Amino acid sequence: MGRDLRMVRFSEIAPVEAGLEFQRTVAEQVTNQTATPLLVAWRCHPALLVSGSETRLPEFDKASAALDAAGWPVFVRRSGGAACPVGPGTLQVAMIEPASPNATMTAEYARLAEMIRTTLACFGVAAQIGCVPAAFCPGRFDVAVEGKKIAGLSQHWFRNRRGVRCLIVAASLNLEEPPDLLSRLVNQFYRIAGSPLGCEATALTNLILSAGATFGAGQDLAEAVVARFRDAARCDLSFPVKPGKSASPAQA
Amino acid sequence: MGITLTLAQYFIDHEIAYRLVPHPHTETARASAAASGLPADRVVKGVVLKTHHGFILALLPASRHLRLDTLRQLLGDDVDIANEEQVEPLFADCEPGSVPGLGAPYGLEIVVDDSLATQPDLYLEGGDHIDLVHLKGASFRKLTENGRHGRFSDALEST
Repeated sequence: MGRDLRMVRFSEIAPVEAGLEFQRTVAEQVTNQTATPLLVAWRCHPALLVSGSETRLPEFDKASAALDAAGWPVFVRRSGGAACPVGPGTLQVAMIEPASPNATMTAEYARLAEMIRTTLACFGVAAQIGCVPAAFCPGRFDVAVEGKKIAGLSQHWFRNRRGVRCLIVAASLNLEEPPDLLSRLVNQFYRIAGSPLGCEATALTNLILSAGATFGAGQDLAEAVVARFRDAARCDLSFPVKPGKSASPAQA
Repeated sequence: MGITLTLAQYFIDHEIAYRLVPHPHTETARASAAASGLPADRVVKGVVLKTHHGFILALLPASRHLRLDTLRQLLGDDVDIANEEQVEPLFADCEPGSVPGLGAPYGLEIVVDDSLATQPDLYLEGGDHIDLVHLKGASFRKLTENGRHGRFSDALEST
């Protein structure tokens, strides 16, 4: 499977809505004849991704305004899950493919989670897959280092305009966003929104903290991770995605 | 084993304990009951209805079928069963064809058949075709108490 994955990515840090739109643009090009899943990577400006259920919290609008004022605007994502902060220090990775009749939620989660685990191993980081209950947006396919969440996954199944059932399995991998900043944002959002939910900074980590001295000063961490991701997926880099109006994908 | 993030988060929010029950791949709630060796009257079937005001999720046992005429009287609206293209976007993190056994996590109003009211244990679809989610009957009733309730089903004939 792995050697048929193809990879495209943004060349620059983009607004989060452009990143999500980029994923949709790629998904629109998926056909039933597409034999190869596509792996998409991008980074974005600070934002808090929430799902539709969060928009029904009693003070959602007030919480959104507060986060917006703090420089972390709130965006609703189509996949499920709870609040998830993303920013320049996180890498968004999505696996996009036609949903075959044999595709299962569990198997597709496991596939991307394993890819992340393999990528982290390239940096000397031993990761495990399993829920980190005290983290934000806990899920069974959290990727954790010593019990601390470093990446989370979500899914979105839909039909594209060609009528093809597509599946986007998305992950947010924390490269260098500080855990205490992320937990403070998530807790602020839920507190104002009127929800008892929250998370603990001690349940979070990032790649810099986990890998210690592996990185030299000035090294572009995201580039290094994408390169390792490419290896993990054994990507063919020739995917001919056409740039969309709001998305300017650059081939890796 | 599968449960969507949306449902899992909803159970966390409401402090509801659940357990996943794996079974071979099935396409219907009744088949899931059979594949799991469970009585079909303990497996919740979700049917999405379309009304003039949007969508409503009807919940009834897999052992019974929905009486649309009764539901129309109960809901006082022009009610019809939604088609596949209408249903799939409502449950964006579920495998196609899977209808979860709860509406609130997906922002849907519900109408619950009275025949689910006395079961000690209930099993719901959690977003895929290879697992059921086991809840205490009391937990299910707590989660659905704000929905509409009524008797709108008939027993299916045994096969």
